Amino acid sequence: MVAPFRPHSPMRLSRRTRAVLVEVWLPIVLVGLWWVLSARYPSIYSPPLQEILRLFRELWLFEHARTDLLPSLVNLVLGYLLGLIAGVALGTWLGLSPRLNRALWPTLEFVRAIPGVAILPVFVILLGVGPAMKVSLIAVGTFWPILLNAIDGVRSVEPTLRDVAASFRIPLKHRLLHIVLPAASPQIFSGARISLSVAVILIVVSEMVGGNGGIGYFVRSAERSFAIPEMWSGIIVLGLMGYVLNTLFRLLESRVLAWHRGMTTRTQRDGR
Amino acid sequence: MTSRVFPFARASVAPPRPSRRATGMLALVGQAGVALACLLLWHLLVAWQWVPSSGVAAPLPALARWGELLLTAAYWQVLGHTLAGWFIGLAISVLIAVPLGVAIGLSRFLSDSARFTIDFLRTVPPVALLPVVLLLLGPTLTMKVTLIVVGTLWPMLIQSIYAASQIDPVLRDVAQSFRLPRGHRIRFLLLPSVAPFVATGLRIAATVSLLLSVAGEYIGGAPGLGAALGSAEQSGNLPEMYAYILTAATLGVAINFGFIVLQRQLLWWHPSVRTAPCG
Repeated sequence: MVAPFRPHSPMRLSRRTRAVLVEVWLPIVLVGLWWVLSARYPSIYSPPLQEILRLFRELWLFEHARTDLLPSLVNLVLGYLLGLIAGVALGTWLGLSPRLNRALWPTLEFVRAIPGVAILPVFVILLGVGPAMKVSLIAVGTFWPILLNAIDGVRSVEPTLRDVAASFRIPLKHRLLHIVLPAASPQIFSGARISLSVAVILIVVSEMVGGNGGIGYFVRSAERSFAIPEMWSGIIVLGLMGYVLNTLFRLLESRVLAWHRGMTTRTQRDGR
Repeated sequence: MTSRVFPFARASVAPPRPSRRATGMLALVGQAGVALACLLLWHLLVAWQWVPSSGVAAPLPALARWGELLLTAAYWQVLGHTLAGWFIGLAISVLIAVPLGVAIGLSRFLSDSARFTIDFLRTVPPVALLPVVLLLLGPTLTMKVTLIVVGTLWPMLIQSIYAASQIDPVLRDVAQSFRLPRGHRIRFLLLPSVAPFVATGLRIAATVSLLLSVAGEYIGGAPGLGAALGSAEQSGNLPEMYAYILTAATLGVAINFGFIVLQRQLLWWHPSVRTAPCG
């Protein structure tokens, strides 16, 4: 095929800048609209964006970031790691023993269906409102999606591969590290991604209820004392926190699963 | 073709397939055994004081209280409040997200433009907006519905955009060259391609919606399951509190399975359903 003739005009932007421009025009327009509209029609509930950003700078750079954001993040990471480790370990075990999995399945489905908020009171009564409650609530909430996806992933190991491992009598440790876990990792990652958003929701909820510090507590108490601009600045921090965590997760995922993406595109190409 | 779903995956597993009828029976016995063993463990933990009895009710009183509650009108009213918020929020979210998402997904320019914005908004934890909607709307059904719409819109929107961008280009070209009328194009090209992805999005959104409904009631105080749970907690009525927790779990299971069954009924022709193990 002959490439179409494209005269080089100074107006033509390079491909890359164009792609970036296409992605950023909408957020810029939206933020601009918010800025203009909230400045022109200020109300109690939506103070001018300028005011919110000023407070954001004063409060969150970096005084409250240290006193409120950091404890939240520590609790979040601790709980998430606990849930992740427990979910992967138990999920691998259940995935490797189908009979046990089948017997446990209805009970697991029932227990996991409890919304995280509904067991919050139990955790508050048992563990108080301190970090122990928050960490364990997050651990329990993140556990289920990871568990279910780990079971699914382990079960989906290619039967041929499993048979080969069995006939060569590869010891369990090597089988886990080199066959089962790599094969299950894409699915485990997708469970972990769901868990991450669950964890962010649960940390906010537990702080809103539990109190004594944390970003969720900050937002809730600002709302209660009608400190609306402060509340909005906290909400912006929460949004940024969610976005940054998600971006970090995606970077990690693409790093760890790079081999997987290469493999699937290859098989797809071969399959065609 | 496998239906790879961006950026979510399956939120639930399909039930393990029982291979034959005899083993099916055996499995059923095993499953009942495990469930009973868990109840027994729960009972013993409380009876032996291994968990503080100030925080955990014994299973029998909880189940008994649940049985009593089932006979009261107030209980069903509470359930109705929660389900009303759940349903209305989900319905509004679907009605906005699916047409909008398909429109965005069909245009390369629009989906490129919307990518960053949606990506950002989707990661904002929906409960962060609880204080705002609570201030504006008070502890009402509207508050709950707003919270649910804000929380479930993004997963639905992303699934719909992805679905529309995944339409087989060959089919699209065929529809184009045969000059299929718009109605037929929607009926035979758009709907069948989009439906499976929307179904997955809907299932995820349904769970999130229940969570947000209960959160709005428990924290915000809107009438419903969460508020009932909170008042049982505050009055120290542990069996009642556990009865409501069990209710929430049952609702979650019912919603989850309801959607799996619905998906199988409506999408029986789709490979992802046809190859799935039928429980």
